[in-house]
Amino acid sequence: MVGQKSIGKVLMKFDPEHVQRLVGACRYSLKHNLGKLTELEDSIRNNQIISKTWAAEVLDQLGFLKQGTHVAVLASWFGTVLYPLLLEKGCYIHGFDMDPNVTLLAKRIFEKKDVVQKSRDIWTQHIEIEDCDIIINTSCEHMPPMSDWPKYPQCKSGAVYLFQSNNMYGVKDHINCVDSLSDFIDQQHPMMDILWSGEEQLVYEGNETKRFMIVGQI
Amino acid sequence: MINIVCLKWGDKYGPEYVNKLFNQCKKFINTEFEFYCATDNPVGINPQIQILDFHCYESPESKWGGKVFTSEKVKLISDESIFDNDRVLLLDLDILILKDLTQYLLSYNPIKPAWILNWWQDEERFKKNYGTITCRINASFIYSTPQAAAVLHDRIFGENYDYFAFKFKALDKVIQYNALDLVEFHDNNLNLFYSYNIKEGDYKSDMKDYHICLFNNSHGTGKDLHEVDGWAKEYWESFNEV
Repeated sequence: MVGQKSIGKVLMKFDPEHVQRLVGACRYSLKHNLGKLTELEDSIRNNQIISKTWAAEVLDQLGFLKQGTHVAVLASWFGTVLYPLLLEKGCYIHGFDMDPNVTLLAKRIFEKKDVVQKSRDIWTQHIEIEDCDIIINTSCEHMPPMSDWPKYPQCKSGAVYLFQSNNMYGVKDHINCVDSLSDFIDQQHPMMDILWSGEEQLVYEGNETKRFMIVGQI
Repeated sequence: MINIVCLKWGDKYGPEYVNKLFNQCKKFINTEFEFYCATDNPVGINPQIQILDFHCYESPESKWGGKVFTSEKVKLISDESIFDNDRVLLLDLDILILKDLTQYLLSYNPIKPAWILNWWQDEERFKKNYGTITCRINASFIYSTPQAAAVLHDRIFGENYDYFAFKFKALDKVIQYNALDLVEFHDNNLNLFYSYNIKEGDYKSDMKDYHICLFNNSHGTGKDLHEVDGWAKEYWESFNEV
């Protein structure tokens, strides 16, 4: 559980309307018994803030976040932290998560924003990514190596890919953690031209962990 | 005619499981049926039971290692070369049949393979762990035609098999998260199934109303029929001969 103090710190980073929508989503989850309260709380933990901010900052520094950019966020979860950062830059977001209740709440949180959220398994179901300039997946540890992701042929030529993984073994559904940045790079599509790569230290539940990130093009 | 099938491979269960299941079927399914066992070791199995070669139904190793656990069931029930157009009932070895199933099996014509919806499983837990560790369906009693099962077979063993093996690992979870549109469910209002492992007091109805008790220990938790005590063991052992 995040303590009151750190939740407060996190919430202060968001604009008041977003905070209100998050609270609304919590209420909705409770009222409709969606079982997503803990996950909503987890989604605004410090490690989430750090890793999603890191992704948005690197994309921005590389000059990829422009007004009108279409961004696909794979296995997006609620988008609580990443979406506001992308919306702030004028991006259109296409979010995909397999959990229908997560999708329902994400839709509520980003209602009337430039977000299209769908409940999809990003590996086996059709996802509308043909017009997306950037493809983000910060959940690579939850799936097979992205080298085998079957949707590359569907992606726009020149699309930019930002992928993250980590070495947090033992966390529920972390089925493909990596030990190092080079291991993570080895999991990329053979034609992926790595434009940027890096790692950061994170503390997760008192343990030192590492998160890895690559930005590339095919 | 109904084809009743079961699978026995490896050394988790002995031939007595197959024979006792056959004897339960003889008592509680009073219509014409053939009983098959797909196995890698037929020693000790009642000669009235038709033996199929388990290796014909073995699921492939996936690209990243591992298989979709128990997906052999779908290979078996979709074998039109053996079952033609007749209905196929797949039973797990670790079940107890408690009441007559004849009427149910004769009157039910599944359009898609019929699975068990685990009414006893905590819905909250399922929602909280969606896509990960939980699953609300169970393949201990599948009723289908080979044709309907073939559609499911093609989904499971198609282009996403490696992904299914890596991400979901077991048949029930693949169905739950990627093939729910291809199955239907037995009617829970008929009090057909309950799990031996559910807590006392959690039963929807009186236990004696149910037709089948599931043990569902293939995932390595709980006790198997030869390990339990009390009524279940006594009941199971009463099917040494019918």
